[in-house]
Amino acid sequence: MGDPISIGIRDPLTVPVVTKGTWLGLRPCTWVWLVLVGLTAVSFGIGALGRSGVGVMGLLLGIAIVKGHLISDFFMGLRRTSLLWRSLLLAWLAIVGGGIAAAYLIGMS
Amino acid sequence: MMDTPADTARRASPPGDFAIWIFIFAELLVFGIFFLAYAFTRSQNVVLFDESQLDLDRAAGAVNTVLLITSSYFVVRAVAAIRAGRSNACVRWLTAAAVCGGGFVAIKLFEFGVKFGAGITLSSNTFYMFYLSLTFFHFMHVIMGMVILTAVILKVRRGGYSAHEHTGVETGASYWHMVDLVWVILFPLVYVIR
Repeated sequence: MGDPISIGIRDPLTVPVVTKGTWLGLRPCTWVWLVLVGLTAVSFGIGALGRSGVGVMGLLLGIAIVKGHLISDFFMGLRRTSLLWRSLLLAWLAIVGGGIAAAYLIGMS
Repeated sequence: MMDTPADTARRASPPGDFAIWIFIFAELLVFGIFFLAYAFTRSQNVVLFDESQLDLDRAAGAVNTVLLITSSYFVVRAVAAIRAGRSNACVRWLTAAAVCGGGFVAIKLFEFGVKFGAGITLSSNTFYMFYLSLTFFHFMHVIMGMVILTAVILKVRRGGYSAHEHTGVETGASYWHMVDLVWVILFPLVYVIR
């Protein structure tokens, strides 16, 4: 028997199982996993099309940074820590992402 | 993930041992420098990098991304399980995560095998020097992560962790998520962006 928060609470009148902390019956981490897989599919699809250019690079890099942020916030648990810890990870993503974008632009010129 | 009362409370420090976070940020610094070195070297050799990138197995890279993301998700579920005092469930989730890690290793070894079979080495060209060294460096971190996951699984099985004391599980989980985090940048950078 799990704790009351993690187990389903069945309302006899409405029938569907309502679990606190879930959305459409899925845990937030499951939603994050689905989003991450979906974004990976988008990145792969862009690669399969063989597209290039600043816009495509920006989109791919943006997707990677969003994925990194989701992993740090929801999987690593930094969402529930102080702003300092979250900022450190965000700074890493911003510096690495910004650096890669700058290098790409230099390569174009 | 945030499923138990312990999860919903705001913490002063991130989950796991403080020392692992020093290690994680040191690793992120190294990988970050590696990524920028790749990007700025590419900016001087765009044609070579774009041509060589076409020979990579992008599908294998994408499948490996899904495997690492999924294993990270399983680890999140394992941490939630041990926080709820469900040791058996924790072992099952961690084992599933390790299996995904094993899938990553198998695919990566296949990729390396194909490249080495085609006579490609670190000396082939600048792109392959970066591709092989970057992905092998990350590969070694996956191996290390699997060793850590296995050690945690064995300790959970022995009853070494509980709902009240599970810092070791969180520490191993944090390291594994870092390996995942690095790969989600590495995959588009090396396999897709052109």
